[in-house]
Amino acid sequence: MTVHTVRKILIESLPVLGIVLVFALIAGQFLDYTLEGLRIIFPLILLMVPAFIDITGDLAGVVGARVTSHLYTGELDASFRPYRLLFANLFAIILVSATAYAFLGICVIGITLWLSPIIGPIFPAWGFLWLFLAIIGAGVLATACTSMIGLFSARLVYRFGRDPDSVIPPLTTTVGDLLGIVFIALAIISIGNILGLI
Amino acid sequence: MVMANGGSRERRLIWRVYREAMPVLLFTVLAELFAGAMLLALDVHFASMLGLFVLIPGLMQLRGNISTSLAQRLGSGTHLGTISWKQGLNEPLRANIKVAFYLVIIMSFLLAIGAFAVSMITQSLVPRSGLLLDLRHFLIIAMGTALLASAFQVTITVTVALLAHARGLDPDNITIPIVAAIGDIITIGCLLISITFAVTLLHPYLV
Repeated sequence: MTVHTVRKILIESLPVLGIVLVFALIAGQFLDYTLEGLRIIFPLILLMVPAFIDITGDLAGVVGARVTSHLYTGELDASFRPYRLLFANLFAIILVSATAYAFLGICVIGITLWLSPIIGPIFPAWGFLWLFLAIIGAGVLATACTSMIGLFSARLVYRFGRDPDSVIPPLTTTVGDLLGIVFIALAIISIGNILGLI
Repeated sequence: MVMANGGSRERRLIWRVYREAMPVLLFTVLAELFAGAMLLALDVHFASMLGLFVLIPGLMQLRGNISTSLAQRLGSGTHLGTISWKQGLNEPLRANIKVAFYLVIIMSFLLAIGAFAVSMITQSLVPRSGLLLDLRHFLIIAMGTALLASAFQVTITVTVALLAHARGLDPDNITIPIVAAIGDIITIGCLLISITFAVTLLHPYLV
């Protein structure tokens, strides 16, 4: 009985974890190759990477879980109608992500200013405004894109008669990692361009 | 009138999601910033090690997917009455712990091989200067980190889930947020230990 349980869990988990691994390796390779250039623009970039990608994955997972619950309770049909309810969920998550990334931006700027006597000045004062806006913009975009991928996948999985709860959480966290790293890199590069650092 | 009622229902939904999600998320941001500070310390000491950061998202994912799944299964087990503090380390609980470690060993082994292959391919296409890690380094760092972090996380997950259930709380609402908040801190702390071990203690023997 126990052996059967162990085997069953392994068989169910390994394919999903295998796909997650491939995406994680792509995200890791992107981080490894862009990090050298990104460090020149903003040396403390790694400080915000775990929080940035975590918010994206967590919030896209929340949208997926909420929409799946709406499907099972019959509030949404298989075509995700009424769209008002769907967009209300999406809008709520975008609002949450904007607040969370604003909080992250304030914390990162605070820590950077606190460390500036040790590491030296990184930006001119107005550069921090760009950093703040870039964190919010990149974060909200990453969350919106990951949520949309999660929603389309939930719709596809549900139509094929499978349970979205088993597929969406690992998918959104993995895609969230990848998109989070790509968007944060783009945000830092855009700041570098604006401030003339690259 | 219908539209107005519908509109207010959606406004209530947006406000409820916002109110319920924000406190946990703000706490998570603070915990993840601590993990980020540790990652920064890792970068300061080991920036010249090429390919090291290929492992980071994979190790964090491994933690998330294995510990969160364990927390979910323990939650279901306590609801079904097959797992509890009083029953101790019974067969269902042992099976869940075993599976978590089997998955960690298999996936961290595959992660190390994948990270090594990806690093080698990209290094041959776009050469960079620095300390190129070999397969043994990747295996020691990935498997050492994953096993060490899992030992802490499985212990914490099991203890929190069983204690929450014993005190009449729902483990589903408590275990996952706790595991998620401290998971990355534990993983990066264990990564620092594994790299230090691989590079400073084993490096002379591995070269």
